[in-house]
Amino acid sequence: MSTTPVPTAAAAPTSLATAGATTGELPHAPRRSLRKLFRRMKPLHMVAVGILLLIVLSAILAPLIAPHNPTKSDLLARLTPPAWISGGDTGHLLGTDQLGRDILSRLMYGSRYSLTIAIIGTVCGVVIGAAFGMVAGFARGIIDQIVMLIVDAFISLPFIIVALAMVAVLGSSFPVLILLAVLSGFAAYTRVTRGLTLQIARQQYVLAAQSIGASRGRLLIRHILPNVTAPLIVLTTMEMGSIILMEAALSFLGFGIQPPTPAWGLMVNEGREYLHNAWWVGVFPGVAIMLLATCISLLGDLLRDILDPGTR
Amino acid sequence: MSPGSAFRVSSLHQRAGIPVIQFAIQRILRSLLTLWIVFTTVFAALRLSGDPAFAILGPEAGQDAVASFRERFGLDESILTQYVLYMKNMLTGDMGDSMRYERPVTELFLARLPATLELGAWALLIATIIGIPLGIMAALRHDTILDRGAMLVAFIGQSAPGFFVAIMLILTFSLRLNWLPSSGRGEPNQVVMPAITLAIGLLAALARMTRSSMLEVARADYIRTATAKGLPRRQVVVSHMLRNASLPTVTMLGMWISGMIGGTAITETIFAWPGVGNLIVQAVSGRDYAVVQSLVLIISATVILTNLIVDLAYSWLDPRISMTGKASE
Repeated sequence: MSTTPVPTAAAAPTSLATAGATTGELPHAPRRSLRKLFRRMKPLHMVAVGILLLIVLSAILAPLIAPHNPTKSDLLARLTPPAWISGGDTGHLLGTDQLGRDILSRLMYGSRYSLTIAIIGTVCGVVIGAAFGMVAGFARGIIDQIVMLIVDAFISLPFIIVALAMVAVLGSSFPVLILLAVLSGFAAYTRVTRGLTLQIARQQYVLAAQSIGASRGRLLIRHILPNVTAPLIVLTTMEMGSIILMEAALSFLGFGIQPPTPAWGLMVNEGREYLHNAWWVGVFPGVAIMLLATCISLLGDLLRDILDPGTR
Repeated sequence: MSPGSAFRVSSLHQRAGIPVIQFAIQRILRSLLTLWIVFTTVFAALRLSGDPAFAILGPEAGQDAVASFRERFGLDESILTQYVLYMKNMLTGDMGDSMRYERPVTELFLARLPATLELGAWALLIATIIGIPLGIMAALRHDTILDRGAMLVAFIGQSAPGFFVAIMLILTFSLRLNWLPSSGRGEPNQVVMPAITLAIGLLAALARMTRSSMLEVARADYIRTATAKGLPRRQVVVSHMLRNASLPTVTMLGMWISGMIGGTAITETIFAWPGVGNLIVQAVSGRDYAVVQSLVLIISATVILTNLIVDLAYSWLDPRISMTGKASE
């Protein structure tokens, strides 16, 4: 998420028709996609996947590989520049912050918060959103109307405003961030799933299954769900990037994760005051956020090319 | 949406048996209903979250102070009375008073609005004059180094967090080069960095959107026909491709403008730009419920209204865009 909510293809259109049109074609079977994935990968995608793996690994292994305790201050070593700048210390590769805490270690631990929020938020969001969307698209009628009304109300607000309002109401804490992460994508997932479900439910094979007496649950799970997964996976990847940016932005504003926890957005904010004499305090975490978000988006782009060529 | 078709203006028409007027009425009612849902949700959420009196006056506040605060802001009434009263006030344009500044929210909002509009206008200008040509160029030089480079830059621009862009700008242009002031409003050069920060995301999105709609249009039959009948390339691009590719871009701009009033929150905070976004952040930090609630409503009303206008315009412009949920199947 940049500072301004730029509408994405999935989230922007309010007219029901345009939402359906963004996912105009029926999804392609997700089989063979893994092999295709490797064949389609351009060098840029490989770099992106490599960086993502690196970030994930450093998040998992942080307690083992981080050179220092991320919250332990060492005032004698405060604002040590990165190792390659004169005055730097090879013990602190990326330098230290205003309290002498090692920035590399803080980045490693910080990735845990970004990734946890993004993963839980995306998974819960997509499960809830897809469930609502499938039921709305399948049941139609009044249920559909109500669900879409809620979704429309949700999409009509810039998310940062929803987030700020919720922080005003609930205060800032980790669970609130998770809740926001879930909410941020929910409406888009519902809308897309509903559009696809409406399309798929009219297909011959679904009608055939229905006519031989398949139950509603079976129709939804065996016949509709597999066909909405591919576009949803693509959307999920896109949403994950924006969740990371949202969490970073909130933490940056002081409404997200609270100090001394090493969240990336918070670190950028702390670095603001020291920009004139110690740029590294704020710049490295900023680069980390940007790298993570860009790499996830690139992965999403790659997946979209493969799974959903219609929207390319 | 399919950009190729969107500009085909037709005469008044019927679709799925529902005439345009009926669709318009339905759509307007739906917008009102959406606004009411937002209104009620915001009201309920803020009432359920605890007593604003303590949040504003502090936990140590005396009984008398709390009682007079409640009376001042009508919090001593029943929830239902508050709700009805609040809705009545909103409908008459009375947004209530800020609990912290003790001034009408409308006054605070209007005092901040010009700054946000100024910032937004500059950002819009920057994003459009760079983003759209960039997208066109990338589409015309499809699959060349130029295209790839432009798209990579746009990609990074779209994933760059605004606050980080802001910090890099401050670091470079204020602290290193000493060219631009890092905060405030008043001097002409103070708007440069906030405007760029705000523009980056839109610029990138515009470039990508313009490129993909141009590419989509380029495959259309009428482009082949235009080329085949010997029209100069320039004319094909300008009067056939650009025109047909512009609707999604225009929609995106509309959406951006409507979301802008709230979307400037981070940029304005960093650059101490005295606009509406800054006001919201301050209100959230200060737990100034009256301001938060009114601003959320103003912003959502703006967005809902814009969406309504865009939808109605679409239904007018393109017969193939449906009037009901049915056609989204």
